Amino acid sequence: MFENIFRYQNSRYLWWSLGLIVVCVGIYASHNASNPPSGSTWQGYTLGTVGALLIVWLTWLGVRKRKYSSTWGTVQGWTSAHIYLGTSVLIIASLHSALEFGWNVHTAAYVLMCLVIFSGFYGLHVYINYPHSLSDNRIGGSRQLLFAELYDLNTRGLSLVPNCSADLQRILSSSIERTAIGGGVFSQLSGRDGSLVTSETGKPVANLDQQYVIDVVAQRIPKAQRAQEAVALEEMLSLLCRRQTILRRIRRDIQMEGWLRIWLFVHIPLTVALIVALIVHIVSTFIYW
Amino acid sequence: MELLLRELQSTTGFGEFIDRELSGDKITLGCAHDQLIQLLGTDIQARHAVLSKSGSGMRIKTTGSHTVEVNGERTRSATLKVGDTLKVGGHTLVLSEPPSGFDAAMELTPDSEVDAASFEHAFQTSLTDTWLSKRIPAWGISLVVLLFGMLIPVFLLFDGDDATPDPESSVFTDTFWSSGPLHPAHQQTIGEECSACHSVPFQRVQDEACTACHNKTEDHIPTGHFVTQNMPTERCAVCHVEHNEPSFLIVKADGMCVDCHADPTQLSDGPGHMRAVSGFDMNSHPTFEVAMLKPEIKKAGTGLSFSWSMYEALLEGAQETSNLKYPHDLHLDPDAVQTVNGGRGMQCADCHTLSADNEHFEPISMEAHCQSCHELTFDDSAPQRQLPHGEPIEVVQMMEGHFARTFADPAKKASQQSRRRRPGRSSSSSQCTAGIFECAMQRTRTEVTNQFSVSGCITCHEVDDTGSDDLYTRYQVYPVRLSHDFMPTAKFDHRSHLTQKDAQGDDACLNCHEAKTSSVSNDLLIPGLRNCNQCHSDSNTSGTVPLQCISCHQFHPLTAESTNFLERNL
Repeated sequence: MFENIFRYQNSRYLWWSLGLIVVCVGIYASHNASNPPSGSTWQGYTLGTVGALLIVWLTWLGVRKRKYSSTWGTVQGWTSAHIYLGTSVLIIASLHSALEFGWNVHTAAYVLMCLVIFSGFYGLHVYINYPHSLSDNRIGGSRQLLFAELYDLNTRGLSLVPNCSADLQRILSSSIERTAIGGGVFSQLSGRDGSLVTSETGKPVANLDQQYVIDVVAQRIPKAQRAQEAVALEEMLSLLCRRQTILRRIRRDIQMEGWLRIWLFVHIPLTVALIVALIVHIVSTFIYW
Repeated sequence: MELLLRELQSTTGFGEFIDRELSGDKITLGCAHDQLIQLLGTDIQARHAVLSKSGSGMRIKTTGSHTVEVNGERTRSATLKVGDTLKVGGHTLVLSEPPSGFDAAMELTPDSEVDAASFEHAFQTSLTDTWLSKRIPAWGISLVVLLFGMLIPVFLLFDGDDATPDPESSVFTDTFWSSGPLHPAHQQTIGEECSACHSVPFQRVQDEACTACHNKTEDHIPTGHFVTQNMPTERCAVCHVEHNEPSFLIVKADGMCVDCHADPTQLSDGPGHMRAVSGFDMNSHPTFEVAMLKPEIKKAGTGLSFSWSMYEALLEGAQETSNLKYPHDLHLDPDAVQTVNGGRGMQCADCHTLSADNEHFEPISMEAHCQSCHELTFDDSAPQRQLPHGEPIEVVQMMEGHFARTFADPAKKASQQSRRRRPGRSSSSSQCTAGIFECAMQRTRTEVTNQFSVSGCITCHEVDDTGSDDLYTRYQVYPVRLSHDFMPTAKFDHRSHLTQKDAQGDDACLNCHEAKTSSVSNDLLIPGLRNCNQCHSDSNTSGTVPLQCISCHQFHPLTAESTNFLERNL
């Protein structure tokens, strides 16, 4: 996918952006000693206008993405242009500012723009690197299939519980019922496993990676007094191990998808704030022209 | 509360069940794994409701806006008694008579349609399920930016009679709009008061904002000058741009000047004689011009009337006509001239005192600078008597009076005859045998002729002998006028130029001013461009001290008068 974004139409937008940057650097370089660089020279106004129009256009990607019926370019093309032109805005706006910063609304807009662009760079990084691992982890399937299998394993596991000895029943059923998946922001991003199990003493204890219950069942198999119980325990053990594998994949899936999406919670709100800051920047400039 | 939950197993259909004992003040109910009663279903929330003990029965209260069904009615809270049916999603819970040791008992018939999707729903597996939001921070940050960046400053700006908010009263004023610091001088006088210059919103800064303080600054070219027809008339702020860091309020680049002056014909099609400038060497800069004084002599009755005019001349070949005879070479020769008190050779600073502006020199006067050597004595027998340094008529009158008294005094007359004569002085008076008055007049005539044509006044002054019989009007002394400023529109710092390697005092002066070889006062000792170029050039040439146009020239003349330097110097 990312190759298509980068090399869309023979990297058409890469060349567009490079061309735009060269033109803007040329405009900036036309400053001279009697007309030193600043945002208020004709060069500064030109660069500022180009930058502002680019930012508005780049924001439009969010609208275009949702217009499935639009035939105005492909989303892929828009995304490719979004990446390259978005990067060029960083340079164009820096030229516009002539790198003069201060505690004011103008620098505030610049900082917001930088945060938006750098969060975009992070987004680009994860979109390049994560989808392969995500797909590998799902073994070609989907999260839905992983959950379906887990649900099936849970149902089968719970149906096996009555066949086990009474003291094991509570451990086994609680290990299934108190398995934690996902959770809050931190739990999702860290892949934290908060699963619990009711121990032999009746106290809830950590069942990290389902290892506690697996160990309990594995130790019980040689001690099984009835053949039927031994069979049930062996079946339960293989089922728990399979659960362990599936749970790892689900947690990894949630974690990777979290990292794949977390930047949008920065990128999008800051983009909206940037548009507002841009308006404040422009209006305040002309109030005190 | 102790609760017995009996879960009927639907899989076998044989009335199998699992009993569970739940205890706690509050029994939580929802689809999340940490709930005491976990009920799966896509329409059941993570933390859906809470059960608590209420009298002999139980009370159910949902969290948030979720609902449950009690005996067929949707509700958010209800008291449950034995026999009541509670439906949560597809699950049915019926309250039954609690066995001993329990406060309540429930029989759960699970939803038969629970599947993997409702199982997945029980977990928070996406960031959108968490508190994270895009909309809230988007609105929040935008509001903060809008409020502090625009709304509050605008409110303070237009609020009330006072157009300018007091910077002390609020942190978030229009100073947030400032794109950079003011020039320190402006910062000191204006401070945070934006409206001092930005008087009308959405209007560019007008010149009145500048001239309110800078009321002495003149235009580069006087209003009405023919050149202004081709000169763009710009606002002050077009060149003087504020709020930049580093501040470049005054643009010092040569381009500001030479862009136009490299080809002055484009500036004017009038009668100007402006010469092209593109740099500071012999090829790119015109040779210097000087402002010269010219005496104009007219016959006026028995005497002469003098008027002075000024004219511009090329430095090279310019001859000064100050009407003063002064050989610099002689005065600077220690073998020929020495100071009265010190007994040393003369130095430049003995006569030339640098003014406070470090450019010009204090005026030179006979009394202050010459008279200590050049006494105005005229009678060897009366060395204390000196002629007045004034009009010839006063000189004649003073001599007449002096000699009348001398010849009337017998003691003095005797001494006159015995004294030795100084060479060059007439001795005829000493032999006068006529009456006192005749002798006195005869002696006066001799001495006056001597002063104005041999030695005395004529040593330093230009004297016109009219040949008149009237001694009072016979000799006319040309008035002296020394030019105060040969380059009135140029700036030059003499003091900084006195600091030279291996040259101090007079040597530093004489490095530029060729006074030691100047024998006549017509010589203009102002050094030319070639002399400057020994050390200086424009910034395009390396190896020299670079000069910019405004190092020597002023863009804005100090006063309107100085635009016409010819008048100023008179």
